[in-house]
Amino acid sequence: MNFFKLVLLAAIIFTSVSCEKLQGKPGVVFLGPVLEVVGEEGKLGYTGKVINNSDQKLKNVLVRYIGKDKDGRIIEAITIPLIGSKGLVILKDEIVDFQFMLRSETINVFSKQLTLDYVE
Amino acid sequence: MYFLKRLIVIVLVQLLIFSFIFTLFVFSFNQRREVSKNQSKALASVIAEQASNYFEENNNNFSSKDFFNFLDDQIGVQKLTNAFNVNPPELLTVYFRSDIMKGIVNAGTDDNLNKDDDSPFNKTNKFFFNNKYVAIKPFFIGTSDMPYGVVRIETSNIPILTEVLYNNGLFYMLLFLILNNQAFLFYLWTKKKKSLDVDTGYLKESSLGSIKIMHKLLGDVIQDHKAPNTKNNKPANVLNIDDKK
Repeated sequence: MNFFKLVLLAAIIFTSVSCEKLQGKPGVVFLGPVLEVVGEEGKLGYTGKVINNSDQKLKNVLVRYIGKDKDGRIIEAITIPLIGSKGLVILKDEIVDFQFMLRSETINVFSKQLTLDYVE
Repeated sequence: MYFLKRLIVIVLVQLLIFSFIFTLFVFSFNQRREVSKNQSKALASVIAEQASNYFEENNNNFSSKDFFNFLDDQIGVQKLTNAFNVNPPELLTVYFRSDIMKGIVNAGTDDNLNKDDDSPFNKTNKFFFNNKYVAIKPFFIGTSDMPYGVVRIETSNIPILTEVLYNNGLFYMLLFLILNNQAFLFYLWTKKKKSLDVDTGYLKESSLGSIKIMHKLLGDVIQDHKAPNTKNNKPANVLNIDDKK
């Protein structure tokens, strides 16, 4: 009886535990790397492209940037709404450009984090 | 105390199994990370070459959007990401030597604009290891000996971590079950059998009672055979089934 309990437990573990959660689902992603340069005023500027590779149109797509100093404190946070050919709605397979510049001193920016947020 | 000892042995065996599986995982992870490092270096070289071409023509009229479109035309951003199917670089940075020398920006380079491995800008410790790899390649314009700037590419190792888990997760679980099974079989193999020694009190207390009863019954039967004339003198504890007919 204990053997069957063990087999049942193993079956439950194998069927319920799935590593697929570790793989990201399709949505809006950066198309290639984001280019970072120092502008004329000595501030960091970012240029990049975003693509909607999901099967549906997405709205309110936002590029979020968080810059931190060497102590891990946030010194600048920027949210950029992406505007596609139909306004705030990004169509399927549509590519949208974005560009923004920081206000903080470049030397103070120690780590950067760029993320995308959207509503399906 | 007996159960505590057993529990400690079980925990130690489980730790041994986990450490073996973890070693396999680290080995796979390092292999995959080396591939990613080589890809980053190769990409940095390609971008540096394109940066040299671009800045030779547009030295005084630089625009980040123009440069990005130039890269897209020359290489294609789609191709840039295809090389890194798991952990594409999030940031592709171009810093000019003048900005680095003025102290406007820290590129994580030494005086010769080569990568400084000890620079904190090239490390991000999280989950007990450096989960960022930075490839830095200086680029030149014209015949100048001094670099005009550097191309810096950052890649995260975290996607590699999840990819290795994703690809090998089932294998690790099976290995865990098989190694536990093997450990149990090894335990059965080495388990000592109890010796059959009457003098050392092999018989249990409860067995002694039944043996005493059997001994008494057998004694009565032997007594009956020895005295056949006393047929009707039945012992009190012997039941004759013929009487029930």
